Amino acid sequence: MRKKNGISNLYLVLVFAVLYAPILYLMYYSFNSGGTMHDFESFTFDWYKEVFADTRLIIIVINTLIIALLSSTIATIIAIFGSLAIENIRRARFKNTLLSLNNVLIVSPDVIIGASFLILFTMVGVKLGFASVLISHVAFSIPIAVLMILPRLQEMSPTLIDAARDLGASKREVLTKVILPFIRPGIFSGFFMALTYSLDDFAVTFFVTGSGYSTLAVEIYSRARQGVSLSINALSTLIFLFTLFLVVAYYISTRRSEKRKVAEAASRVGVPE
Amino acid sequence: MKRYDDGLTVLKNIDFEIERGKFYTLLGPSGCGKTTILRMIAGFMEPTAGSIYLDGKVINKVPPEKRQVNTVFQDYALFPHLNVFENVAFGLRIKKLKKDAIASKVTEALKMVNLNGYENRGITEMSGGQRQRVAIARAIVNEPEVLLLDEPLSALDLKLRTEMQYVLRELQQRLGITFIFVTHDQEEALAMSDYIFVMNEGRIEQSGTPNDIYDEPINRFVADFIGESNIVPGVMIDDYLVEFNGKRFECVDAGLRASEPIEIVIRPEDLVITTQEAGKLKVRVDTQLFRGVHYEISCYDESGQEWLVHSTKRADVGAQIGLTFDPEAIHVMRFGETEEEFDRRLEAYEEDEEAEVGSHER
Repeated sequence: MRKKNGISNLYLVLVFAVLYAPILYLMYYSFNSGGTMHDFESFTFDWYKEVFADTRLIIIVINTLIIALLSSTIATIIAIFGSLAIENIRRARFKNTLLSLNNVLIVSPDVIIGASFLILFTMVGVKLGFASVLISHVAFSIPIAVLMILPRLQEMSPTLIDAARDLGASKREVLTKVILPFIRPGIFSGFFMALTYSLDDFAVTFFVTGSGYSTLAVEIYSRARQGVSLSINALSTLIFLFTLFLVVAYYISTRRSEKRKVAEAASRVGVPE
Repeated sequence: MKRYDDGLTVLKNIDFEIERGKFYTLLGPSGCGKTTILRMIAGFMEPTAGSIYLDGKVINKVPPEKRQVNTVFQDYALFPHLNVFENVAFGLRIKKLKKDAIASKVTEALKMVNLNGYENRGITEMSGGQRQRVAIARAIVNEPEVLLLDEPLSALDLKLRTEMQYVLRELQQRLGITFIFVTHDQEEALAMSDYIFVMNEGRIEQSGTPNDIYDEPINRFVADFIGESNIVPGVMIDDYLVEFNGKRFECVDAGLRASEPIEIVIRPEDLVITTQEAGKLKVRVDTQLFRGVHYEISCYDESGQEWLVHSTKRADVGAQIGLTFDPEAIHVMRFGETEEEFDRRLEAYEEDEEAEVGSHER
């Protein structure tokens, strides 16, 4: 039994080592003064200084964040109403067709979505740049957000809506006081999924971005093609640390709210009957 | 009348009036349309034809949020994202009442259902019976004119259910709100109601007080659905004389055609076990079940007719015994008689009787 455990632990360690090795390798050489990714000469922060001095890069980072926040917010709002509409459809076949169409968009390759958006934008005459990137990001985020919101909506008993109306709530109040609070967890997870999809999208953005406009993924790709500069390593390290920070913060916040819940439940045991 | 789009008529010619401040029950097997009536009164459905009046006004087109009617749902439909206090306060907050008014009303409503002290609990932390009471508090806190209850006790265990029957009855009498209660449980209906509507297949078969319905079922369905009964075909020989099982018996029904075929009902508890000589019916005991309060004895007479007897005395299985009953125990049902005809007949001969023998107790 113990031996078996040892083997499975070893396996896990190996898998994670393989997964993290490239990232750690990249981070390691971001401190290399030699300028190449072999032969570590001496420790330096030069590449980091270069990243922070590069205003173009900083602007691109800000662009990326703006696109991600804006597109996921818009996509989540559209997805909420879309989910409500899908849920309200009575005929099961029509409903399933819409759901399948939604899922096809998630499964279909980004390249195809990007290419088709490029064709659309050039046909309609939308100038490639901020607008085209934002629209396409909104578009590919909606199906993901719908997929996160819809199950929560399906979980909701229809009598809840009846009850709210029975108690005097108008249709708007039913939405704001019952439906939205009930599906809030779904809305949050939909928003964060959309956010991450937008942040690390490369393929779609690559197609629809114009000459003067770029997001981080596209920028890193084009710089890496031009030749290896260790400033890319530095930038990647920064982004990695930032995501690590986000994950840890998320973990701590959920742990804390869970702890509070448990504590509340414990204090309630003492409530007089 | 309510018709669904697919052409299925769920309710046919439902026409009834209810008085303010009474406890009404719609009783019937599942699928008989009682919940549909409730949903139409609440405003979740519109009748395809016909009207619903409240205080003399047609309310067909009034949406549920504008009706002075509140509902306790079968699955309680409590809001899981709100605690007990906020659930009860939901309707008041929508009416934009002042904060202290809300607090005092909610506290009072929770006290009425014995849930004071539970204000800050989450819904998921409450047991089934407690949730039930939160749902009731949430409805009565709005002081509706009519409270609709859609099989609210069906998810509770037997002991809690009987307890809640008392709570509901008491609450109704204290508040003076009209209750319309939907159930398929005949005991529940008999125990709580002022007035019962027995429904079957979208029709009201009979309406009346629990006593009326139990003692004078209008037809086989009602007799069978409300309690256990012995239903035997017979012939009305003359006023106050009925023939069944090849024998003639004195009874208290009159006003039927001579030699009209009828069905008679005798409730199991009206049959008394006696010796074979003294018995009006001679039967053989087939099986006997001990029910706690009484023995339920199944007997067969010579013609093979089964007789169900509820007796506090035990009988011996296989023994030949006699059964006796009072003339009042025989209840005569005509075939295809409507409720109005039935009432008219009852009134006619009851007046007769009163004139002849003075008051007659039923």
